[in-house]
Amino acid sequence: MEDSDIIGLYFDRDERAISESDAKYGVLLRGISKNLTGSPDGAEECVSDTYLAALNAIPPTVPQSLRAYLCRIVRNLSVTYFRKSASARRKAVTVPLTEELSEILPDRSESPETGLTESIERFLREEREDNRLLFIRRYFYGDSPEKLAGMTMMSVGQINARLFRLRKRLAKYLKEEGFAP
Amino acid sequence: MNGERLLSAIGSIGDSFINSASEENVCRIFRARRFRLIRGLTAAACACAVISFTIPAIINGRPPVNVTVPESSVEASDSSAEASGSAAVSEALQESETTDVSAEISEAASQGGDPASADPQVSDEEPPSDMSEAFQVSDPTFGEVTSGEEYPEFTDEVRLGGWIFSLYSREGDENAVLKVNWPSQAGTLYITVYPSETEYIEYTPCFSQEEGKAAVTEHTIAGITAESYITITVVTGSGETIGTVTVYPTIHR
Repeated sequence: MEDSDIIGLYFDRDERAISESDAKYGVLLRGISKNLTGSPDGAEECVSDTYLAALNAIPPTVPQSLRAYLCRIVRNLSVTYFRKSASARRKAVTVPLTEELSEILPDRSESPETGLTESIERFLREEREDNRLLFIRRYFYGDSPEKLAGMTMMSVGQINARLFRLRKRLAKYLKEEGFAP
Repeated sequence: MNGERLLSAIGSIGDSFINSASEENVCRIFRARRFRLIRGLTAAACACAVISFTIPAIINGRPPVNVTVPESSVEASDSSAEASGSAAVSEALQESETTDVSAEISEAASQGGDPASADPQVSDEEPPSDMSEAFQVSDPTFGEVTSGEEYPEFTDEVRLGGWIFSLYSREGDENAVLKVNWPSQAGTLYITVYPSETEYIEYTPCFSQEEGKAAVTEHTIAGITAESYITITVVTGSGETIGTVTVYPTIHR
């Protein structure tokens, strides 16, 4: 079913919207959530909550891309799940993710509260396409370096080296944008 | 904690970023990039071979030795045929970050950087000028396929570029099986079954294949009768149309 038809089901408050969304994007959403929570149960809970959140938000929201919209919801719910659940914190890959990202902004930096996403988007636009994709796969989708290595036909060492350089460049960029002292 | 703050901020990036980083697209981009790099390095290796034969001869005051570099290997090295080896290498180096290049150069060299061992069959990357050449029914055992397996029951082996198609059909069974041997290149197959004009699209974004071994996929094609034939158009991951071939099923009796 086309995305526009599924969005139409959401508008009609038709519960088939959930089953159709799950048929089309369920695997993708569970993958993202499992990457971030490290738990199949947690992933299942986050995906169910994602469909309910979409059902509550559409209408009035009209997503331009249903795929991106659902991905964003499940990712944010998974990060929230990770923060709340102690068992998830022990298992989740979110821990190394946050640790890697902590290098970019020092903990005590008094940086502006707004505009961080826009700055990251500007930084990504200036990066080469392959680096940009690598960054998004790692820090949005939560893919492990091992999975990225398989996807890109590179070694894990090469992936880690690239991500390290990307983080360094992002740190420099955000510093110039006033997000770090 | 600022790590979590950044993680949340990345969670709000725009739709275009999220959609562009689909698994299929990531595979396609990196595969194309790797292919360009290897192509550039092979061209450079050919150019170096010519120079290494020619310059000593000139220095020694003799006319240059008549060196024959397999034309097919040069063509396969750079289909645009305008970039010299050094230009191709510098382009490849610019594309790649320093630490990545060394590993990929050695890997590429081991895969075929030696011009002396250049295999003329790499010209399979080029679309055949005459489609009748592409339609070759040969040994039904997939003789040259390096998948490590044999499929003696498959017939009608048809080649197009680096792709090899083989079809298996049985009398009374409307489901035929199309076996595709892929080169190390992602691509899309547009398959149409005639006379019903049923269309299939098979996209294969990525293989976890071993180095130097071709990947084989199978596709079920429904609605095959004794009068049926299928056409297959191959479009590479980078959008280049390789060509179209026609495969006629052999109904086994």
